[in-house]
Amino acid sequence: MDDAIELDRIKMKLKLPNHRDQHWKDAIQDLLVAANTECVDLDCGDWLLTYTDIQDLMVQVDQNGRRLDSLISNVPATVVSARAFGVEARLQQSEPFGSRELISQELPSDTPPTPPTSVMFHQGTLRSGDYLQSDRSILIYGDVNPGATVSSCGDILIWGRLRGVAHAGTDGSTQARIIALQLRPLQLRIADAVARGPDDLPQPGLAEQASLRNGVIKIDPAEVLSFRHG
Amino acid sequence: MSTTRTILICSGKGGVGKTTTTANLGIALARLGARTVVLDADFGLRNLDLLLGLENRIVFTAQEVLAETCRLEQALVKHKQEPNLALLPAGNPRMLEWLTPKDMKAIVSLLEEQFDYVLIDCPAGIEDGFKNAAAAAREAVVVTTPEVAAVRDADRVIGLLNTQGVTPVQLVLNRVRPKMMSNQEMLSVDDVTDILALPLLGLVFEDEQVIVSTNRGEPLTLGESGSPAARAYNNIARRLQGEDIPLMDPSEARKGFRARVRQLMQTRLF
Repeated sequence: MDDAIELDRIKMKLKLPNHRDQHWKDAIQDLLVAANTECVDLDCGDWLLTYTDIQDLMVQVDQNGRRLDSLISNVPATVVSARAFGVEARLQQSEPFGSRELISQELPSDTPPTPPTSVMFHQGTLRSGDYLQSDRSILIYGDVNPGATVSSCGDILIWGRLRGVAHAGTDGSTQARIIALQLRPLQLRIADAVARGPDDLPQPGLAEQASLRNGVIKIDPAEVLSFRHG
Repeated sequence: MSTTRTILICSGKGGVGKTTTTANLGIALARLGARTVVLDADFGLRNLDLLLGLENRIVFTAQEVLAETCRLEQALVKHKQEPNLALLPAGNPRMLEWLTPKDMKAIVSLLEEQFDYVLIDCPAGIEDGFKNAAAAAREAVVVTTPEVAAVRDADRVIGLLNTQGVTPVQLVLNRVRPKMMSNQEMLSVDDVTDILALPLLGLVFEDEQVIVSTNRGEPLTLGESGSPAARAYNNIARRLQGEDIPLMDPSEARKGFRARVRQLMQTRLF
């Protein structure tokens, strides 16, 4: 298990064994002792670290005289937990492990990077204070409650109710769309445009989409065809 | 494995009735025969002891227990009328910085050996006080009122509890005013559960008796009074124990409610 953990000069990486046990704390302890920089970045891989884990982790980092600079993870819940402690945390795509690695080897080495239309999936309701960000499109199976924020370089699709803030096309893409089963956000942003959500209640059973037309955000009934990119 | 239920009572926002709920629920559970301890994790502004009328009996706190300057039995304050209920203050208001999640877990595991229910009264906010209080909780009761700010804060807290794996999380909707609800001057029960998406453990109507009982240090559930809040807390305790008791309906409870409160106010005050 130990050889699954590697240490870079500045950045520590914790790679996930197949299942979790008490051992992860010991593993981190070894890394912390071995680290020769004060600031450390932590790659949590596929680990689901709860709020308590992060808290323990930070205490451990602190006791070793290190400072947790940032954290990356493939698991949204880990990112949410870390952000709850004010740690700069971001979500990354799963790195190619095992079978996925085999597939990538079959492709020519000059394969273009994953197109921006690929989708990050989040299951569960985003509650007040939660912040979900991705450089891909985001699909949420759950509600986005008032006080929560979703931000994506691509589209935002919500199989649920949008009542918080959504920002699509953060990289300036004016083609980005925000689609929800019930679109009643506090605020909508697409690229650089900002709009307040509508005040009246929507027609029940009608999914809606927000898109940018002539620099203004418009809300229309959602179109099935609008999902077919390229 | 311990069958003790360790329940965090939290809200995010202050003043929605966490401590009142803890005190009344503690008494109600104790009266149902469960060995219950209420742990005041809000030790900076501790007032669970006030509500239970036990302020003058506190000698030691959990802090001394962990420092091994006293035994747990010495720090536990038994309730005067309800021997099944004990209070443990987490700390002394002057010593703000001592509690860590590790301490909390240590205290709670000591309590779990002796009690059926450990109710943790959580401080307001979502900072260290909350995190410490929540460290040892297995399940949670989120108290909120039908107000936008309280619901928003409760939502935040529920999100934090979820990332921590506390389950189940149930909801108590406190200070419901049936008349305002029916006039749509207040968020309705559906408005609240619509956002929070939690199972509703109980509705507690606004009840002036609560203020009287709080000031006296005698929780409402202690007496035989049929005041609406006392009944609500008793029902919550029984639902916690798994009984299936229908929720009160604000629109139906409205008629008899004011008359009953007025009658109670007269009988109890003179």
